[in-house]
Order: sequence, then structure tokens, then C-alpha cells
Amino acid sequence: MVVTFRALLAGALRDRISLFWSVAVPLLLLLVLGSLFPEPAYRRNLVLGLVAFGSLSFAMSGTGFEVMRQRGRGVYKLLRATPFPVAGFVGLLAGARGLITLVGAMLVAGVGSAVHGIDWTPGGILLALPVLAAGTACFTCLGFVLGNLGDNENQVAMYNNLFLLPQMFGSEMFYSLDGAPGWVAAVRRWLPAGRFIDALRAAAGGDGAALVPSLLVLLAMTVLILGLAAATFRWDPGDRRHLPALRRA
Amino acid sequence: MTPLIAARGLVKRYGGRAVVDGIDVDVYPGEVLAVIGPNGAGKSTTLEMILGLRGADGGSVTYWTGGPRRREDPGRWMGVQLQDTPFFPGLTAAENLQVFAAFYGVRVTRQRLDDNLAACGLAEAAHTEAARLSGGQQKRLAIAAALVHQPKVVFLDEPTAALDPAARREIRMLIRRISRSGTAVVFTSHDMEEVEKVADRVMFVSGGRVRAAGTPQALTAAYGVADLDELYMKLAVEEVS
Repeated sequence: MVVTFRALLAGALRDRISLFWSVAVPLLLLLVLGSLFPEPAYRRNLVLGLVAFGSLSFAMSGTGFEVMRQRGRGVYKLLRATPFPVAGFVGLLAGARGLITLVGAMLVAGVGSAVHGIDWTPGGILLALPVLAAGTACFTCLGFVLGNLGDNENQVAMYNNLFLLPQMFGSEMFYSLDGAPGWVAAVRRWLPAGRFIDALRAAAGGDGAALVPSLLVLLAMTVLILGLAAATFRWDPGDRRHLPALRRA
Repeated sequence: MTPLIAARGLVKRYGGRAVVDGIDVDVYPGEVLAVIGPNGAGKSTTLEMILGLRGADGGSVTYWTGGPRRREDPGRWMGVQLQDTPFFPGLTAAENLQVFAAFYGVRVTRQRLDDNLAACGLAEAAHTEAARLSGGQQKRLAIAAALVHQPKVVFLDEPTAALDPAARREIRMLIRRISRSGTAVVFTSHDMEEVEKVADRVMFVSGGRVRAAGTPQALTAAYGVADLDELYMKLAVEEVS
């Protein structure tokens, strides 16, 4: 397990495209948007929004493409011919990508806070950790769904847009939706990224009571999406029927 | 001699049509068994049923585990190279081997990894990302991964498909080396010259059934043909008519 986890971690760290979108782009946006809109309240929300954007990019989009590539390459099929538990492998893959997502999120949050002068209290940091973990788990599960739906890069890219764009523009990542129509606010409540940002804002403000509802909804969404990921999981692109019923002497 | 694997009456149906229709296969220690036949004959499906990758609709497979731990997972001593070349693109050849060893529950030393890579002609590519290897090197990496846990039997599904003549020759030599080390090799191929050069036994599958089986010499003598290529054409034509 340790060898596999280390290798998956190394592989995820070499996923330059995901790292670009999850760390480099948020850091760039921090500087550009932060300098264009200097209001402290906006900058604070921007930092937290970009943490969500980075997490979504690595955990969801990155995992989606990785799962599709591994399945297409026949890794899952081969894995079934070995004694290694496939569920264990999936857990390790999610863990490795989740760990890097967490580190990336902390990096963006740390740099953003330092650059834009946001003070995190120790309590706020403690509150933010479970939120980051829950968000990472939720987005990673979404990534598995994404990778399960698409058979090739083009399909995953299209599904990725379908999952990513509404969450990017409907979750207050980059701007407030206070003036938006009521239905936009209603939709926002059903977006994992929206709940993640709400919980993160509550944590940053040290408001544990305000954090709990959003965190609970986020966890419930994670369980639902995990179920969806398990239901749509495929061993290989062509065949869904794999029920070995052979006699082993 | 006790076979390592004895499959009896394997059946696989898709939509009511039997793609494998009662195939028997025995695999003996150290032998090279070639499974040949036209596309869609049921070769890969048969191998995948033996490996437990597909459920069988009928028949049974008995695995010899050779020791007191008779309930041991046969996957621990079977290696497989599928038609795809499964590997983790972001990892080097050596890292990939390490991961595949872990899949088989084996911890490998650096020396053993190097030996394994060298045996498959990949010593110089050990630290190259798998995605950057040539087609032939990727096939050899897939074979190295199938051998990393020192299995008793290794299944190679069209190991030389889409390779240039030099790479095909290297794979043929590799198959012979694997066999000489005592590991049984079961492989599928459409290249009869290759089969004739490396196989100890040949099994011709068509329409989901075994049409002929034996050593290359016995088969060519029994059917009165010059070589396996001619035999293939004869049996394939018989099947069509």
C-alpha cells in the first residue's frame, strides 16, 4: 500500500497541467484580480474563492482525466487480475490526489493571505482544515464521476466544463451574487463549491456555528456523489460485466 | 505431468451467442502455448476467463497452487500482459514495475527491479517516463510487469501486435527466455511464423471452439501442410465453408 501510495503521489505531482490550473492560475488571479479590486472584503472572498477554484481544478478535473486515462490504458482491468483490492487502489488514488489538493489549497490560502493581509486566527485555521478536507473529498468524488462518464479526453473535457463552469460562475468564487436573481441563489445552494466557499468563509471568520450547516450539506453531497461514483465506476471502457464465477481449487 | 491450469468446458455468451463454446485448456509448467485463430474466435475471452477478468457462463478452471496454501489467490502466481499496455504514464519504467510488484503483493529490491528491466531489454529506459517509451519498449514494460512477481505462468495477449520486425524479434527471444526460466507462457498471435518459432504447443480456436491442438510438427503432419501458415488458412477456410 505504501509503495503504491508513494507512486501515485509521485504521478500526481508530475501532473503539470492540473498543478498549473490548481496552483499557478489561482496565484496569478490572486495578484491580478487583487490588484484590480483592492477592497479588503473583496480580496478576502477572492482568496477563499481561489482556494475553491484550485481545489476543484486538481481534485475534480485532474482526477477525472486521470481516472479516464488509467481505465483507457487498461490499468483497472489488469488490477483485477492481481490480488490487490481495486477499492484499495481507488482509495489510494483519491488519497494521493486529495493530499496534493490540500497542500495546494493551503499554499494558495497562505500566499493569498500574506499578499492581501488577511489574518487567520488559530481557531479559524483549525476550523478551515475539516472544510478543506470535506471539499477535497467531495471534489475528488466528482472527479471519479467525471472520469467514469467520459471514455476519451474530449468527452471528459466536455463533462468537465459541464461540472466546472456552473460551479465557477455560480458559487461566488470571483464575485458576489448578492444582486443576482433569486433562482441563481437557489441553484448556488446545490453546488458543492458554493457550500464549500460558505463553510470556508465561516471558518475564516472563526464562526464555528455558521460553518456547521454548510459543512454538513457538503458532507451529505460527498456521500451522494461517492455513491454516484461507485454506481458509474467501470473497469474498462468496453465491458461492464465482470463477475468471476470460476471454481478455484 | 500435472497442469498448472486446467480449464474445462468454458462457455461465454453475449446476447445468446456463444463466443466461447466449450473450450478446454491445459497449461503445463515451462511450456510455451500459442493460442491462434481469426479475430473474434474467442481467444482473448478464453484467456480473460482463465484470469478471472470475465465471468464464465459455463465450465470451470482449476488452478494448481503447488503447496499447502491451496486457497492462495492464483493471481499471485499468474502474470498477464493485456492487448492494452497498462501503465501509469507519469511514472518511469522502474516506478511502474515497483507499483505492479506491489499489486502482486511483492516487495522488490532495486537490484531485482534492475534485473527484471534488463531481462526485458529495458535497462537503459529504467528512468524514462513510461509514456515516452517506444511502442516496443511499452510492450516489453508490460511483459516485465507481468513477470515482476516471478509467476509460474504468464499470459501474453498479442505481444508483438503492431511492432516492427526488430521489436518482434526481441519479444520472441524474450518469450523463449521466460520459458527457459521455468515460467509457462500462454500467448495469442496472428503471426504464424512467430508461433512456429517459439511455441511448444499450438491451439487453434475458431467459432469459440478448439479446432486443432498439438505441437507445430504434429499439427502440420496431421493436416498434411507445409507450415502453420498453411494450416491456419486451411482451418480458417474450413470454418467459413
